[in-house]
Amino acid sequence: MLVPPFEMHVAKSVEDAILLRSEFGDDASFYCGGTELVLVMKLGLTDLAHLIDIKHVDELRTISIDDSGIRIGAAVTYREIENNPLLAADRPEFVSMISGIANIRVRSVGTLGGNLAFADPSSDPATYLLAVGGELEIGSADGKRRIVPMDGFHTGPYQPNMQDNEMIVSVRLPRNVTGGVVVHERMKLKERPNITVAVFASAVKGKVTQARVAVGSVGLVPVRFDEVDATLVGIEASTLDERLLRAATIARDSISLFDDANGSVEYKRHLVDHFVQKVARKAIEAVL
Amino acid sequence: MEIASVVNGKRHEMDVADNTLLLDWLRTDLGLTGTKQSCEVQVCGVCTVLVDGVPVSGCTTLAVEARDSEVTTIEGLRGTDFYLRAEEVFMRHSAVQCGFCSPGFILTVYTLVNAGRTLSQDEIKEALNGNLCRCTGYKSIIDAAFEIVNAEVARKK
Repeated sequence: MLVPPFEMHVAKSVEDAILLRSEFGDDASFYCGGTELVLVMKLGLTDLAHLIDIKHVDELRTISIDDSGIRIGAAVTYREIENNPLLAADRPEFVSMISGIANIRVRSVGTLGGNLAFADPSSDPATYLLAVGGELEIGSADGKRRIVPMDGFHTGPYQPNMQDNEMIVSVRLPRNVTGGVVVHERMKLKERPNITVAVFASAVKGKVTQARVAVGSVGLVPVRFDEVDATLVGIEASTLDERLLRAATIARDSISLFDDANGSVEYKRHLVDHFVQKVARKAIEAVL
Repeated sequence: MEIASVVNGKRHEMDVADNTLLLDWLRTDLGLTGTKQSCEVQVCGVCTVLVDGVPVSGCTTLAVEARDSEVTTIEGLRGTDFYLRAEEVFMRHSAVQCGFCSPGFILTVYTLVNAGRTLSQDEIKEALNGNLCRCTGYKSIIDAAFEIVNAEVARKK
């Protein structure tokens, strides 16, 4: 299988990359790990005359952690995240989620920014970021940067909410908070998960004060529902079983599903029900 | 693009079309056919090669990514002490039948050894979940990989 001919351009900075993208228009794409892009080019799903290599831009390759949060450059690979001791210490569940993506070769070169820009419906990172309240730093042609929440960034399959000549510069995660936990689990029979669920929960004096449930890989985009989260807030040990059941039922009935090679709507409803209960229980039992 | 790359210790300077895949460059231009071609969509692992010690799928990696880098294919390991010991363990466990998936498995195991950490059976299974075999079955391969990784890591300490 051949990749159609194109010309490679190596960008020196974010501004340089965006300028090239503006110049070439729809004939060009940013290129980094290539795990998704080279694949869709081979399969003939896209026709590009120019690739703009952004992996040599220093700003996109750094991980930093300070009091304000965690910043991961868009071109940081999964492998670099897996091997970062600071992330392992502060967000072990994030690193564990990353280390289960695809396979060892995809993780060698695949990047967090690329995953979020591609907006595959089965994205584990997008689902995780929804639960923790993650944000993205977007660079644009006028040199300005804006910060947008993960919530709402994927508007449809393969549809990130940004302009063609904008790019993801970094991904922002909040630091782990005292009294809060995030639990992530996926069920995976093939390369991509059948379902991926992440839950953030915090509690004070035996009562849940905050909860966010995110469900991915079953619908068109990873989703969360205010009503599900509201059902979990206020849980105490005595009300745990009943409220978990109710939250999972709301999630199962709210999510937009369709039949595909991963299963029927009925089967996916069962997965959502089961995994929301299971993962939310783990998170809440850990903080109560 | 003009590239300079060291493949299995030998330096190559070539003009490579930007759309050439690493797999095709290695097999066709350099004649290194130990790297196999199968699924074409980075799922099966038979095209595993190392670029600066990191395992990648040759079928979805562009050859220009090898520029200013060291590439290791199965031919580059042949005859090394690691290779000879790994070969003995694979044979003893009957972890090879047709042999088509073996170069990918051996290179992946090699990267696990270089990571320098002992691994449980479950961790070995996770690490090898991107390499497919269609004949001997996975148990013998996982047993062999488990023995090699833990013996080699212990040897380095």
